[in-house]
Amino acid sequence: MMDNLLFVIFPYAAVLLAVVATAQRYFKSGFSYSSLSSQFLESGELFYGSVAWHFGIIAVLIGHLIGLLFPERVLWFNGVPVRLYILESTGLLFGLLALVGIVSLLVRRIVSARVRAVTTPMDVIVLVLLLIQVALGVYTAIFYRWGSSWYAAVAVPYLRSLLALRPDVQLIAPLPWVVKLHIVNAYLLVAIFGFSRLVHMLVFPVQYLWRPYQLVIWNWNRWRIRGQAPALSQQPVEASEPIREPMTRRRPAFTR
Amino acid sequence: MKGISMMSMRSGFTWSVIGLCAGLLISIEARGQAPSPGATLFEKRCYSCHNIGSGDKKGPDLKGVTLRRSRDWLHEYIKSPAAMNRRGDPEARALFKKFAPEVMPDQDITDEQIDAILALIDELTRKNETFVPAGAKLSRPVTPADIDLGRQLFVGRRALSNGGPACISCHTVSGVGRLGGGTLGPDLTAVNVKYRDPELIAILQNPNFPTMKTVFGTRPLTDEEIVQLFAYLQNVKPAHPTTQALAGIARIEPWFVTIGFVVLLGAIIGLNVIWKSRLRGVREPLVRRSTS
Repeated sequence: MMDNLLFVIFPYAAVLLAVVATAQRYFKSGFSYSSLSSQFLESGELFYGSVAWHFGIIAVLIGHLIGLLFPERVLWFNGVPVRLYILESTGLLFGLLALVGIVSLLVRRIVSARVRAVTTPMDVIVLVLLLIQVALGVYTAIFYRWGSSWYAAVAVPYLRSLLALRPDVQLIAPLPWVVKLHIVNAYLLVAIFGFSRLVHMLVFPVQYLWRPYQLVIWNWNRWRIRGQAPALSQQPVEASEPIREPMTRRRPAFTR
Repeated sequence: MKGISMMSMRSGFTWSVIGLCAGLLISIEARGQAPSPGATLFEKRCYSCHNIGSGDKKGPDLKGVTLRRSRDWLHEYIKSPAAMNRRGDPEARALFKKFAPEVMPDQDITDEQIDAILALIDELTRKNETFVPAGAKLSRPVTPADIDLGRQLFVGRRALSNGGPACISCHTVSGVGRLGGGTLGPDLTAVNVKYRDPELIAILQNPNFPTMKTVFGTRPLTDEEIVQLFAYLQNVKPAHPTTQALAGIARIEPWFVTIGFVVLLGAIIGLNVIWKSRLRGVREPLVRRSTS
């Protein structure tokens, strides 16, 4: 009964909630689709948090997706032990990277007074749930080896049964509770998706990858304007007209 | 008198011989008979964890269980042992405690099937016989070449015909691969000591353990694969005496974790190198420049 509730009813309810809440928020307050950058408030710790977290979690999520889409291919790849070990070590690396990142982000939220000032309760909930999720994943990778293979053989058939609307909870019933908690926590993250900063992944500016350059050309010496240019600081600054500096490098004149 | 006595002795001997022959014939015929529905069910569904008359395995020996417990209790317990344990049934609790950490999973089984199994247990208990699986035989004798073929199946170098995942996904044995096999399932190094040959063959034919059942229920091993894996598992030698003691306990593979952390350190250093000229702040550099 409990298994049905957690692994059949909950995932469908979570997806439904995520879709409805996300759509409603988009149409009612589309400008709230952001993770609200706090880089200006604190950038040192953020580097170790944000960069490590995003590289780690994106690679891990892609790994889960590949397993879901091509389980037979994954099992075939793992057929040679060395390849299995390389895949598992890579997975562990990105899992650990995500763990370092999420711990940094959580510590930064708590320690930095400036960041704390702009932190909502939902931000903390998201960070804690993500920390639990990644910690359980890393624990599973280390203690219940080799996850990439048995995920493809045991968990993927269950996930596919959910997607096919013919849920079969028996497939994952015998898995250890750590793995079950990992699955339930994932559904919890889906459920809060529309109410949290997680929506920012839907408006990730992927078009930046193929967008034409935007070339910024400074026609004056910024340092000199601010009176900070070390060599020229003795000269009076004429603020009324821009101080031209000789163009030392000609750049292509992109106009778009 | 003596003549009569000799006559009766001779006829007694003749009858004994006839009786013995008839007994042998009956027993040979009985061996040739198809196993009862209860025996087939027991072999498929229960034998992985239970014996009848030859001692405890992962679960208790079921000889005499129909005399020890009521039929209703047995029906209820077989269908959902965990529910009875949760409800606080003292006998269920005692079983869970005795056989921890093994937990008997709920069985998807009908009342008629349970009755057939209980009838088999009744019969063998009454006759004081042990259960010997009828189908637990290899399809052909094992040859030395099977050991390496079995190893290839175990690690996945040769795929299982019906699409099942390689054993290494969840199990390890001593000396397999540099980082060993999986730890979701138990270490199989000493599996030939833990199980008798027919038991091991029966498990390979019908792995009725919860996870194995879901994975291999629709993708069974072929007869040939069973021979080869059986040969390999019989020949795995523990690398050191502690292997058997630790079997089944999820444990860390030191090299795997070390590799993970070393590469993590490399990755963090790499990220710092790539972004070494990142903006580290706005106000501090301004102040530094103006004061220098």
